[in-house]
Amino acid sequence: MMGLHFIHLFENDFYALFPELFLTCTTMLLLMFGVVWSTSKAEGYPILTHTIAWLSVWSLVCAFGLTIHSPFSVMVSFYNTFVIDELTFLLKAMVLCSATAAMLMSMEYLKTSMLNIFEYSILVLLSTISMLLLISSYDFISMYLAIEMQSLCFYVLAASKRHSEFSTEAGLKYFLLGAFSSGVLLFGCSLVYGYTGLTNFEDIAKCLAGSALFQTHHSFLHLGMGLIMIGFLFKLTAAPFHFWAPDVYEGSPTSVTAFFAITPKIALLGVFLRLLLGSFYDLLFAWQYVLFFCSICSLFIGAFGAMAQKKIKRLLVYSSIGHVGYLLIGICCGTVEGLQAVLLYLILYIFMTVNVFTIVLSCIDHSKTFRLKYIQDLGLLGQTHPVLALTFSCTLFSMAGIPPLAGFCSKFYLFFAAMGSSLYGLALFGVLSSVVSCFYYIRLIKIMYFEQPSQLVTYGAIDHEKAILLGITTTVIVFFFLCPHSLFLWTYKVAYMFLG
Amino acid sequence: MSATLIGASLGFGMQLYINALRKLPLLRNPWEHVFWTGVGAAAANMNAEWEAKLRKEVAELNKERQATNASFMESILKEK
Repeated sequence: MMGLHFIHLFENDFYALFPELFLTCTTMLLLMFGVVWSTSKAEGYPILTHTIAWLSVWSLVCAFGLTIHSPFSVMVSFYNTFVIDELTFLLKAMVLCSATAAMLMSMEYLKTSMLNIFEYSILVLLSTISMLLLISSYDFISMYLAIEMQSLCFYVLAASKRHSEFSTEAGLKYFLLGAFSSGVLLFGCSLVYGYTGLTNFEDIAKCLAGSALFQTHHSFLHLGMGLIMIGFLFKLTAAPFHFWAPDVYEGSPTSVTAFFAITPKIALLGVFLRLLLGSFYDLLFAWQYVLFFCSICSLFIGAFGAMAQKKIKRLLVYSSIGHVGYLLIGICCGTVEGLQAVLLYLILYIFMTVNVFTIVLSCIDHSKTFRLKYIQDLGLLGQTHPVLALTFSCTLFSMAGIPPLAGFCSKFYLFFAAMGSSLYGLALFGVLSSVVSCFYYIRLIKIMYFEQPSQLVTYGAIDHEKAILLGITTTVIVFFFLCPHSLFLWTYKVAYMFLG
Repeated sequence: MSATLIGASLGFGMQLYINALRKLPLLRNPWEHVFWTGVGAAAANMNAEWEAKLRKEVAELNKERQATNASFMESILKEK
């Protein structure tokens, strides 16, 4: 009887992580297929990059289907190592959608940039699995292992353009600085473990419950929490821990940069939220100061750093640093409304980033030799490809927070949440930084319509996958204000179920 | 009905936009227009249903929240 009971529990554990298990099996099968087939002399050593990329897309779509049809809505599995709730459901769905989008937008890039490595798709799948596990992780050990698995895939992806010195440099830089941040994170975890004797998130929350009331904090606990926060802020590219990001993002192949900019933030932010608003909620007044400072730094560096950039990828990196600053404002609130604003901002930010990177990857000339690199290369895009220029303008306006586009709605909600938590200074700084960032976004639009390019290029037609991605994301960005209710209600429900 | 119409027109418009992006004549590949019109209509209806479901769930959550707050306040008043 006991044995049967155990089997039943074990089975449910596996049901809970079925999308991750499915993706793991598919990845292994695709890897074997790639290794065996691409080295087959009888088949003439075929290049399987495109085939495996499409199979990866389909496996991500299937995993998405499995995620939304999960039999459990709330569950703790594998002896409290992983958790499933409304928050994990939302974040997992976002990770899978954004990874699919990143794969679709990189199809043509893989062909034209001679990245003839089928391992690219395998690495994207492996990092997606680790991100799914990271979102579900409910223990320091599972969290750290998931982060490391994700990071190892990213180091290789950053250096995947083997004949490019920049790519190799980016991979090395990412490896060294990523290992440093992982070390800081692990040290923080060990200090918290040393103080509490616990590694489970929920147990830590119970252990610290009421500690703010009785002033029973230990400096080691604060130091541990601070180091964990630094580790996460480093990986989230929040200032002042952002210095690695511009070089790594610029040196990596553009499709990899797109993937880095879109997907990992969701998973990292998810577990960061769970830690701060779950385990360390009773230390809110301690971590709020750190996030307040990082948020202001990120907004400042994001807004002013982007102004000085001449390369499009570097500009987008600084823009993403600024957006991380906005996300941190929402976490600072520590309320249901703040969490709701963060989730809403994150969803719309993903749509905007997918749109921008699809446009950047679409700007390739007819002979497939010239790619968009410098901001000045966008010159006269309004004449050579008016629809693309219009789309880019809409997205940039949205990123700048111009009404009635989606970016405005998300910022509006975020600032209201900040004011609801009496963070008036932060809200004011956010508004000011939004005004400053308008300058460099509108500068891009000015270049597209009024300035001559450094080299006259006519960009070719866009491939079908990218056109569909642009169609979907632009529709959401432009028409979101007509029907925002579903997303508002969903994020409210998730935030309330998590914090309420 | 209005959700279907709005969704269908958004889907149709999206296919026109996709063709424009690809520098193709706007009505090239008409079956794709039909496909996206259908997808748009279905998505809008699903969204409307989802929204109604979410509204009900959120109303229940809010009721629960108010009840919890009320009982918490009562317990504080009793202690005093």
